[in-house]
Parts: sequence; structure tokens; C-alpha cells
Amino acid sequence: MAPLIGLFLASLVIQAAITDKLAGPDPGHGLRQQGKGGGLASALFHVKNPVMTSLIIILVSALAIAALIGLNAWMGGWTPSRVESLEAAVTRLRQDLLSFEPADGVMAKDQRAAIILEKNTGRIGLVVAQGDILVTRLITPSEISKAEIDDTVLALRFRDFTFPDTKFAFDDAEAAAKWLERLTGDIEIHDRPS
Amino acid sequence: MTDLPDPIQYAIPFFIVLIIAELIYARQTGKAKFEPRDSGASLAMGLGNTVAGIVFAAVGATWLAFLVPFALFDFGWAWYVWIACFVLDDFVYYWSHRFAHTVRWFWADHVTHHSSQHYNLTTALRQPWFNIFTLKFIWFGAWMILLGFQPAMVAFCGALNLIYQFWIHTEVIKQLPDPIEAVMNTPSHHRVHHATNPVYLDRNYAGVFIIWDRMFGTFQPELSEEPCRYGIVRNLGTYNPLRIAVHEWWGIVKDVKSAKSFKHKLAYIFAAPGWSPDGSRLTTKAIKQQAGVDKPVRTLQDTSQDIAPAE
Repeated sequence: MAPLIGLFLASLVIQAAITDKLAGPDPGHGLRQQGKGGGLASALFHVKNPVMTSLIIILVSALAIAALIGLNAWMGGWTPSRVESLEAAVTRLRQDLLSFEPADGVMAKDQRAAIILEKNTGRIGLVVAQGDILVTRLITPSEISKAEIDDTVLALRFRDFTFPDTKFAFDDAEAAAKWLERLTGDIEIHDRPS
Repeated sequence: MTDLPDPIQYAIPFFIVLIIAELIYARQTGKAKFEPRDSGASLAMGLGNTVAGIVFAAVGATWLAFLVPFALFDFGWAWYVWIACFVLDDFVYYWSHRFAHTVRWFWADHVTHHSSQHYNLTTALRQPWFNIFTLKFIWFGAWMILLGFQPAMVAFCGALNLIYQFWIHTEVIKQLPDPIEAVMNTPSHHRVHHATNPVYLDRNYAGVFIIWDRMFGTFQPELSEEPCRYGIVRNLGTYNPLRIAVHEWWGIVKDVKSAKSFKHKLAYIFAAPGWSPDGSRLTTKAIKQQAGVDKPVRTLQDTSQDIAPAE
């Protein structure tokens, strides 16, 4: 209960601080808001400087956000996502990409990722678990900026900065090396049997 | 210029209380989903939006103050003017929002709001940081002032509109009574708006009144047989607020840089999101055509082909 009360009080401070002065005009509507009430922020912080008050609002908001995230983490209630099977990965790729014809594919041992080659195109379908969701991409080998092997683990980094770095754990080092070659375009990957 | 309080500022504590309530309800019933990093990204985007609002405030204010002397009429402050202002502001919002989905320049900003695969009250606060770059305040913020509404009244009604839209970002409320669903934007209608299922893409642009979508042919009811999948066509795999805020802008820069003609450069900026010279990417229109759901449908049986993605 204490965190909840704390959050509510923090939000009241934010509101009071904003109302006290600061929020300037909304660019979409263009009005300078000169709040008439809310002396709470001034009472608490004795701040008259709008810049300083803005900083306080931002700081208190950041604290409130941290508290909300902490509350969310503490309460739990989500399940880390997994790629259940290669078929599930293909289904997800088809859902996201509308058309996707799979060739060969492989799942990471921890079921947090799958790589599926697209038939006839040489493109690579990726399904990666992140938090409680899955994220997909259809990429070409040139979109992989870094690929490294550490024994059985293949680590990939992509040029797309909105796609997470991904690690694939394979059963053995040979399989990891084989997939590294295929992903980086070192060998022919068209029309492999599924 | 008359000053009015900003209702959004007063609403902030209630936003937080409602988020906490939804969090608890989600934990107890499983009827909503939260993930800390996703929630954190959304809330950080909201904070950044507030900061950007403070930083760029003077730009919009100066523009609207400049417009006031050119207003055709002075409608004053009568109660019925308030009602007209609220309704017309919502009408403007509908078109502004529609352009935000159909013109990449505006989408680059608005995509932020759609970039979560979750749909809860924190998603409502996942707002862009670079709204000022779209210059939407010039295109859409001006005409009500020029018509004769008081700037303070327009701002107040706009804020009420945004507050209304907060509570509809939830999976907890399924359907409201029919008369409400018929006239108002509801959680059900807005879930459709945030969904990427082909049948739902780019539908239900309403702010407060869903009647605009019904009038202009963009209304799509939520279908019980088609659960919403939230996010964007090319979902993000990052919780980094800065990356979320700039990714589509950066995409425009890269595409314009690689374009082979001036016409293509312009199209990369102003055509529909997903446009490409060779059609290798898909616009909403192309996705809907492939899935056979060009027009809004009442049930999936209305479609001539299966809703499943093309093989």
C-alpha cells in the first residue's frame, strides 16, 4: 500500500507543480497556461524559477515512472515469451509478413529465437523473443552487421537499430558454424529442402 | 489572451491512479497485460513528450497568436460555442489523425504511439517527442482560430479530447451499451485502431466521437472471431525511448538518401507508409488487398476470401 500512496502523492506533486506554473503552451494549440491554483510545488520547494520548477517536474515524473515500473516488476504477471516450435515461428512470420515460404530453419536451444530461410529468395526470417512478446524480421545477409561464434553460440547484431542483438545456442559448434555461413551468405541457400 | 487552466495537468494524478488500478486488475484477472520494460518505455515516451511540449511551446503559441487578428468572426464564450468548439475540434482531430496514418511524414511522428505490442493505459502515454517537426500545428491547429473560436477555448477542448482518449486504451473493458458504442469512441473501437490485423489496419481514427469514422467510411467494429494483435506492421524490438522516437524519421532519411529520383524522394516522405518504388514493401492498402479486406466488414464471412495472410 505504501508504494501506491507514495505514487499518488508524487503524482499530486507533479500536477501541482505543473499547475503552479510551468507548462507552457501546447504546440498543437498554442496557449500559455498560467495556472491559478496549485501552490503545492512552491510550498514544497520554494521555487519561483520556471526553469528550476520544470526540472523538478521532470525529476519527480521520472521518479514516479520508476516507481510504476518497479511496481509492475514487483507484481509480476507476465511470462517470458518463447518460440514454441519452428511451425509456430513460420506461422508468426506469415502473420507479420503476409506471405512467407519457408525453407530450412533452426530454433535456438533456449527457444528464445528461430531462424528460417525463405524459399527462393535468400532472405532470412527471424523470430526473436523479447520480454513477453515476439518480434520478427525478414532480412538479407547484408543487414547483419556482426556475426560471431563462441563455441556453440552464434551472436548476431543487425543494422536495424530497432531489432535486438540475438544469441542462438546450438547443439554443437559445427551446427553454429554452418548457420553462420548460411546467414552471412557464404554458401548457396536457395531452395533448401524444408 | 484569456487564460484557462490546462485540464491535462489536473488529470495526471488520475492517470497514475488508473494505471495502478489496471495493473492490479491485470494481475488478479489476467485480462490485461503489462511488461515492465514496455510500460517503462511508454511512460518515458510520455515524459519526453511533456518535456518537448515545454521546450517547443513558444513556437505553436506564437503561430496561433499571429493568426488571431485574421479570424473571420469572434464567436465569444457562450455555452453553445463551447459545445460547437468541442465537436469541431474532434472533427479536426479525426482528419489530423487520419493524415497521421496515411502520410509518412506525419506517421513518422505518430508511429511512436502505436509501437507497443501491448495495449494498456500506459500505451496511451506513449507519445512522440518530435511532433513539432511535422508542423501539424500549422496545418490543423489554425483553421478553428481563423474561423473565430477563442484560442484558449480550442486549447481547452483539445485537452479534454486527449483526456477522453486516455481511458479507452484498455483491454479490461470489452463492450459498452450499444448507444454508447454507436456514438462514442470506446475501448473496443480503439483496440481496433491499434491492431495490425489486416482487417483492422488504419480504421477508427476517432478521438471522442466514432461518428466521424461512420460518416467517412473508416469504421470497423471489433470482431469476436478476430482478436486484435497490437503494434505496427514492422514491430519494434527495442525499449529504448530514443530509438522508438526516431526510428521512422531515420527510415525516411535513409530512404530519401537512397532514392534514385526527386519524385521518389518526395514519395518516400509524403506517400503512404510502406510505399516503395518497386512495391517491395507493403502499404496498408496493399496489405488489405492481399488479405481481401479492402472495405470494412461486419463479420469475417463478409470477406470474399479467408482473412489468413496470403500464401
